[in-house]
Amino acid sequence: MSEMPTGSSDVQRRTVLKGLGATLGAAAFATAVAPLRDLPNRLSAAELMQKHYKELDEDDKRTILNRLEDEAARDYGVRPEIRDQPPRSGTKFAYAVNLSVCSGNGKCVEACHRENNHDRATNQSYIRVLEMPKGSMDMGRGNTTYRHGVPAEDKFYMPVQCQQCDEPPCTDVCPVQATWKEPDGIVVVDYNWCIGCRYCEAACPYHARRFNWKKPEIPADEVNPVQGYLSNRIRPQGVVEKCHFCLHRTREGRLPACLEACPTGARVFGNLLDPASDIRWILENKRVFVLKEELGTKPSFFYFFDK
Amino acid sequence: MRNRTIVLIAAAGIGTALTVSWTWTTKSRADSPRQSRAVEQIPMPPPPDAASNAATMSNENTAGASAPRYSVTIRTPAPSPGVTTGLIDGQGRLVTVPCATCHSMVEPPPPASALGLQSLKNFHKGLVLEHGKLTCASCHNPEDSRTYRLADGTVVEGWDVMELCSQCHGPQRTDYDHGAHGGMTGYWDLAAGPRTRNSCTSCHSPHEPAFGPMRPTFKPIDRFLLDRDHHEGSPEDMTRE
Repeated sequence: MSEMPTGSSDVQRRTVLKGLGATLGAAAFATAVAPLRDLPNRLSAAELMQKHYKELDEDDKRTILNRLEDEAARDYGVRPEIRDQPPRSGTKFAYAVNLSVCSGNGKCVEACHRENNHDRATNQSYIRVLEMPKGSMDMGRGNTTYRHGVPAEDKFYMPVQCQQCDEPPCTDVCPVQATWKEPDGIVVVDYNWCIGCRYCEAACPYHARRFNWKKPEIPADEVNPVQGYLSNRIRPQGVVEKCHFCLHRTREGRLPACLEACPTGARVFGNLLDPASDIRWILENKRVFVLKEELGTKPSFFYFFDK
Repeated sequence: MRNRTIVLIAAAGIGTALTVSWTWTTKSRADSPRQSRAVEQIPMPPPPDAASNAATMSNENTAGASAPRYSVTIRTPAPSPGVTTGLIDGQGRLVTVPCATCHSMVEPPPPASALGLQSLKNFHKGLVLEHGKLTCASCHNPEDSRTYRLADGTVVEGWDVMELCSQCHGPQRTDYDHGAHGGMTGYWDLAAGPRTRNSCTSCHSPHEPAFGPMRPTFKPIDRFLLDRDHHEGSPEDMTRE
């Protein structure tokens, strides 16, 4: 009989604790899902539900491109035409730069900046032109901030951008497979699948990848409205991007923007699988090298000299 | 009894939360099909390049010599406005005279004196000739100032200088013919579109052909590089535009 009050108070205590626990649990759950309520402002539900690029069918792509065009129109005041250019069969793209004539004037850097809708405030670009001391191939000795007249007497100039490696270290390290190598040799990024971990940026031996620290700022009249899903559409904040050989142009047969802008004619672009192409003639007849060959990355980007 | 009530209330709380989140999820799920249906109803206008794309594809399929190919155009330099006289007209413009104004009457000097550029003090003022050991008549046709003349006497009409320059610059011409020298615009794939190429004189002044120095105008703005400049850079490096 003396145990009864103890028992009843025990039951009461347990009940209270259960209730408390349940309430706390419900509150914690509510707090946990709270960010979802703010979500529509930053991220549309459709974007959240979007699948990996490789799993999209034509209908999905049309819906997504439409949505991205709407978003760009809302955010940048210009409605772009975003397309999804598939790789061309029988094509493997390659690039060669003539270091005998490159003068380091940086027109390619600027052309890339404009073509690919880079952030205006940071002068972002996929290309860096390294001013190198003659006799060295050590990228670490290169300088990108020179502002004197070019070419300087004791220097040579080496533009560096994504080398579109056949053994790309950057795609291997991506934990979510948001970046991969396409059949035409171009290494691409699905900006809507990238989680922004920047592993790829660290893995690239050529410093070719860039991270969008903030949402790119571009005046409406400077937005390039000809855009591709895997290339120059305006990137969201917090994702990695890189040179894609202007695939929105090159997959339609056009030359890359950096090549067209080069005032010295140092740049050569073409299809490696075409024996009659300019790029093949250069590989067969010029003194050609690739950057950091010892790493075994097998770049599709070549440097050559006139003699 | 009270025990059960509290548990029920808690369960109801969780249930509500779940319902809210479920409603939100289904709503968002419902969004996408609705959007895609809307797209299906309104047929997308074909992209402007669809036609040319299709052409490209068919070219690839038929692949080979029979595939139609677009042309490569070599830029023709604009005809020279003439020779600057060193005079300035009433509106402050340089007075230029067409070549034929004088050369239809005046006998050009023999090549030997032109080599010393003596005559250029009187005519062709401001013209600098820094091109190996060439004289005027190495390229210009003394018989007709509107044309050029190759070493074998062949007269070159108009402004097509490619053959003229190639007489001496063979290796450059070989490189040019294989796309390894000289800039271009347009299409790498001639089955998809045409290409325009620079001619020699698009980039090289025929009188001073050396490619002049340039000043880089576009530089990355990188806060880490800015810091580095601050510590070891020259004052020139620290001035930002």
